[in-house]
Amino acid sequence: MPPRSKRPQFTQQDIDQQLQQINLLDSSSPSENLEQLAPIIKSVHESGRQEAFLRTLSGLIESKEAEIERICGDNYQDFVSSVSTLLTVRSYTANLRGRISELDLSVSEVGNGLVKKKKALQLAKRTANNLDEAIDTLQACLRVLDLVNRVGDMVKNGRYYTALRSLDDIETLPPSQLSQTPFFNHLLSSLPSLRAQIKTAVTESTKSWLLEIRESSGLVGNLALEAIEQRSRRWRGRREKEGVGRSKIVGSAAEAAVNERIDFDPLNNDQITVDFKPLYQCILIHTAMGQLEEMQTTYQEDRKTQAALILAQRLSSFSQLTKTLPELLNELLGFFIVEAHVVRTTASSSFRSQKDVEELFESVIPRVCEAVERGIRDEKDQDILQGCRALVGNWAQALEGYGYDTSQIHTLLFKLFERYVIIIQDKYKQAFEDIVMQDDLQPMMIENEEEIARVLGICWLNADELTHLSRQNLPFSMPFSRFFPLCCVDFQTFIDKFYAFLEGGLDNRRDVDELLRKTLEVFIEQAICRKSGERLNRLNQPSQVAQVIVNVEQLFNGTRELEKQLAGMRVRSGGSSLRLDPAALQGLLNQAFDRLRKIIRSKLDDFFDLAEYNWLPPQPEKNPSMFLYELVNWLFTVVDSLGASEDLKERIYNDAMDYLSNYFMGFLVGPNVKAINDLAIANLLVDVDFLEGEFGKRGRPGMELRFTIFRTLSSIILQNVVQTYIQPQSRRPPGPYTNVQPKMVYELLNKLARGGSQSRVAADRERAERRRREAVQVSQLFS
Amino acid sequence: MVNPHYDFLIKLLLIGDSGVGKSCLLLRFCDDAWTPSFITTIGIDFKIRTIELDGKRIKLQIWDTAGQERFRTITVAYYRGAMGILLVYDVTDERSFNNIRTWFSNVEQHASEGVNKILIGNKCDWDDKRAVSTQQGQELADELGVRFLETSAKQNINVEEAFFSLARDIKARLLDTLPDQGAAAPGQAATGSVKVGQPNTDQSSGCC
Repeated sequence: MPPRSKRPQFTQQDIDQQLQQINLLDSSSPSENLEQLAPIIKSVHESGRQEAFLRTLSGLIESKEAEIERICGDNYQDFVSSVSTLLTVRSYTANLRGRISELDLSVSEVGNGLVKKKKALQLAKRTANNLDEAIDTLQACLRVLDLVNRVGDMVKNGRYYTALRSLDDIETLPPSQLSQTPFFNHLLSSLPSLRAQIKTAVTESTKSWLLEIRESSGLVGNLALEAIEQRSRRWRGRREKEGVGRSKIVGSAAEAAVNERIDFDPLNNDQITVDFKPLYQCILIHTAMGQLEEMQTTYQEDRKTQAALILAQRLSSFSQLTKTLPELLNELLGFFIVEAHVVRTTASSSFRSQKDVEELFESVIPRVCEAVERGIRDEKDQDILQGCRALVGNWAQALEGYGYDTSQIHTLLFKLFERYVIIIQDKYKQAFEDIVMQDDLQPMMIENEEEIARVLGICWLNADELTHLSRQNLPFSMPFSRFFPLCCVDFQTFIDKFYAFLEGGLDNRRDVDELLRKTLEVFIEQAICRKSGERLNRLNQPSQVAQVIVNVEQLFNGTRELEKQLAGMRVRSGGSSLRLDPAALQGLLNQAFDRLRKIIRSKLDDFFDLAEYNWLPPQPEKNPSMFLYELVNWLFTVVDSLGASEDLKERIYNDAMDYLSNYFMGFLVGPNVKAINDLAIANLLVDVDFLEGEFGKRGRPGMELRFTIFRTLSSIILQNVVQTYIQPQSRRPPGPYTNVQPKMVYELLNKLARGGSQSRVAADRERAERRRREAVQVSQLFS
Repeated sequence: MVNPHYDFLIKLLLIGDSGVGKSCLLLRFCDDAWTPSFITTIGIDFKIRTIELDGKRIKLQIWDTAGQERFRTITVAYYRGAMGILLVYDVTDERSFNNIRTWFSNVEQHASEGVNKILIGNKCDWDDKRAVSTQQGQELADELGVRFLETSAKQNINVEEAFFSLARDIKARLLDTLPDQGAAAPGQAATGSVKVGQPNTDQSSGCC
């Protein structure tokens, strides 16, 4: 063993010193003091300076021997004894020396063993340490592995988020001796794939959730629609019971307030419970992984595909549309209810934006609307249309409840409505035509109280008319024929149907008012007025034409009442007032009046055909013409018994008077009578007097005015004042002949000239000649 | 100057209960038309048809009266001017037949003396509804001393015959008894005939 530097180095001096100290011959001690030698020897041994020590010892011995010799020299005796002692010492020393070397050997032996043991010990200790470390590391590894293992289990059990958290935990483990191990690095490098596994797993679960959602969408939509239907029914019932405004629809504020108590969630009820957890979990995981955007895109695409799939499945056949429509609407409703729910519940993670859903909604709705539109284009069954409207209407309401913009659907509803109106319009048009064509054109007879109540109940009459008619003594006849009440009934039932179809929406729209107005006008113009016009042309009885006029006037006033009634309805629903174009009915009134005038004129013509005037009578006639008696009697009988207004009668009499006076004027100046004499003119004046008298006596004044020119013209001839007439001043105001045209005088003079020239009496022929000359004179006034 | 379209004017009058078919007979005779709908005649109406009898153009002015009671005073005024009267009943309506006696006595009271009359049983096509037999009709006509015909305006049975036979009787009575008049001066004859039937004595016109 190499000397340790730190061990004490025994120098020569030290040894000397130590040896000096050893008092071998301690006089005070009878025995040799060898004990003290041991440490020295030990130290010598330890320092390996045995040689030095031995040398020193020899030195010492020599010095001692010298000392002894000296001493002995002095003290010989003592010396001899000392020598013997010394010899003894010497032998002892030699002995000691041997023992020392023996000891040294044995010490050395022992030390070597010790060193070996020590070395073994040290090795063992080191191994133990390593073992400990290995155990620790392994345990750490085990923990990590356990974590990883648990992640696998969690994924298996669907606890994806916890799994993900665990992965994060692993990643953020505090640094330890494990951190540097390849094992750990390997583990870390495997984390992304674990994450990917989790992602795949959650994505899988979302996909299967999506599939479930797709399958349950129909039921969800169906339930939501049923709930709306129930609400409608409840509301209708309540409305009818409590008389709330008919225009208030489901979804209106009033309805919503009443409906508050009952809230039905189509996503969570006793029939179905839609679990959104898989989706939320997926969102959570993707958010945690910072991959929400990717998932959003996938989800959006998936939903788009699903929507497209619904459309593709349900819209494959347009001809079957009315059958597949309920499923289509149910599924789409369910689809968008889910979307709305997702938007609402994932708002915090802004997973699904309102805008995306709206975009999707807006891409789907037009296709549905278009399909439905195409499906109903040729539909003739009003029940199917009504069913379709109810369905689409409820659908729209349900969607509105989830905040969707349903304006496009409302446009569709309106188109459905238009189609419906076209169908019923045709039926009603036919009905109105039948009413017109089948009317008996006789005042409606009322026999009993029931009848009057019924008729007054259905007719559009103003308050005055109602009071007046309800006070009549039974039996009595209405001014109008059956036409009017029948029209009122049909108009009313049409309007009721019109609004019944709208039940549940739309009726505040201007378009609806416009459509109602247009349709009513179609009935009035194309059915009532056109057919009445056709019929009028075939009517020959004044009473019938007058009845048409009365009916049309009644209908005309009735439409004003109808407008009021509709206005009343609209005020409640906030609509505008409706104004029917009166032109058609007014046109019909004019046409009817023309027809009446024509019939009467043609009868007057018949009378004049029978006039049998002798234009060249030999003597004057005292009595008016026979035909005029009959004419006047007939005219007053017929016109007075017309069930028409006084105003209408007045117009007819005026027209008849015009017509009659024109006949008389025509005799004098018209082309039909070629020759005439003074007596004939005088006879005509008798007839004119008669007509003026009769009309005046029967309360129709005004005939005199119409005969003014006739009388003036006659007087010019009969008073022989043609020369005066020729004077300009007499033809200018205030002259007496201002209203007589020279042409008239000329024509009459010519007729008289022709009449006189045929006479056998010379005086007559002379006068005729004079008139011919006068005619020439008069002709110069206008040529 | 004389109207050149006809030689004589004859005025006829249709009377009888409401609904027996007076207007329908007239419509059939003048316009050869028929309408199923019932149109009440209001007061009085007339139609004109020109026929030819023995080479003469005869203009018939046929007055159609309202059968309803409320128009009675109006219609009676036309009796006087009529040269021939058709008393019409409905063979399916016994009451209208029974009322013929009343109508006849009205004629006796208001019409000109010697006016020609004919009894008409209308709606003779309606066999299953018939209530008055042809014999009953004939017996009544014999009793009243008038001609009798059953007609159907609807089926156009005997309508022409009814009017023609009446017109022929009138022509025989009024015109043929005045020799040469008709042929020589038709206008005069026509005027004369008018004067015969002039109803002005019954009219309230003040000027006569």
